Amino acid sequence: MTHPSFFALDGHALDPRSGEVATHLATCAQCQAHVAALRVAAPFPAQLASLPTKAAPAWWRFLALGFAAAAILLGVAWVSQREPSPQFTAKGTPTAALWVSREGKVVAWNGQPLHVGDAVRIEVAPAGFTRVTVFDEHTQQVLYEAQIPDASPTLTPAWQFDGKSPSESLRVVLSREAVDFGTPCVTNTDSHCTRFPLKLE
Amino acid sequence: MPLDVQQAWQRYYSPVREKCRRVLGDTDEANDVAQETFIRFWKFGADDEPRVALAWLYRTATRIAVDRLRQRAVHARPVPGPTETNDLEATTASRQLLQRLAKDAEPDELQAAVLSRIDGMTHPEVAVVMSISERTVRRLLTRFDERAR
Repeated sequence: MTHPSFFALDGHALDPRSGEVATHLATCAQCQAHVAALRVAAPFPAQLASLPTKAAPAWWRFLALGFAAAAILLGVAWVSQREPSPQFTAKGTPTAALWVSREGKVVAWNGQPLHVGDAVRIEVAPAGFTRVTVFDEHTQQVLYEAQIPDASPTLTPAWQFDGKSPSESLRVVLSREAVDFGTPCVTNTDSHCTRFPLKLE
Repeated sequence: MPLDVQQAWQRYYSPVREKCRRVLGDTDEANDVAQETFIRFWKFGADDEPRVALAWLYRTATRIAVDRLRQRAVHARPVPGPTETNDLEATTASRQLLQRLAKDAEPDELQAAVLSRIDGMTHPEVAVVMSISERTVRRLLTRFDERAR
């Protein structure tokens, strides 16, 4: 028996419609089991409750885009009337931010000491860089490395502070090529390096 | 009416988690990737229409999961076996093949292979999710199959 794809089954579970998938589901126990499993709700993690409210609805976004486009056109018209500048304009600013999750509450790290059991996660805004690599500076190990899809802001996995060492230092490198620990921690056109020296309270 | 974060979680997390399990085999890693996908979805994705949202979630989860497969290949981590009793033999075999090729294949080849061979999607479905043409889907899968030989 040929089954619909998981994508088709998931689509049907979210938005049931009559058609081939519905006909197949009526007679296939295996696909029924897959759809039934999706209906079992996963517990909602408390730390996600602090996520900011979703952006405005689509029509409002289109309106905002219209205003943004008009502003850009006005800006271009104004800039084109000025003397040309010898400088290049920056393409956004690469940043790395560290988030601390403690007892279900997520806060930005601003140098505060950590507690045993705190989980940390790094969010990067690549601004033109395409790779992120996170090193443990004590062990010189790579904790995480990944390509950044669509140059969009990216979150690393979470690491829990176990307290075995009174301090930890994470090095976050944004780059276009693969880097190793021996690559100098510098910020220039090839890389953007940030250190997070973490201490245990 | 827009969903709040908890409603969005209840609606979309389960299919993403199951998809990540199929690709990665490892339940903890799958939960981690599914959660990361959901956070990105909440920040950047559109949820106006469930099937559009699902395509966005599949695309993003596949990209993140492929990054994980490539990291495993770099660090020579073992490939998990079947996670569930109903994890199909064919899925496990496809996952092991993907893991074997993860180091050398291009990310877009791996993404197309994940969607086609593990999620069982048709070429038109893969094309919609990856926002590419069906011709490009066929080309990516042909290249992937050539590497597998």
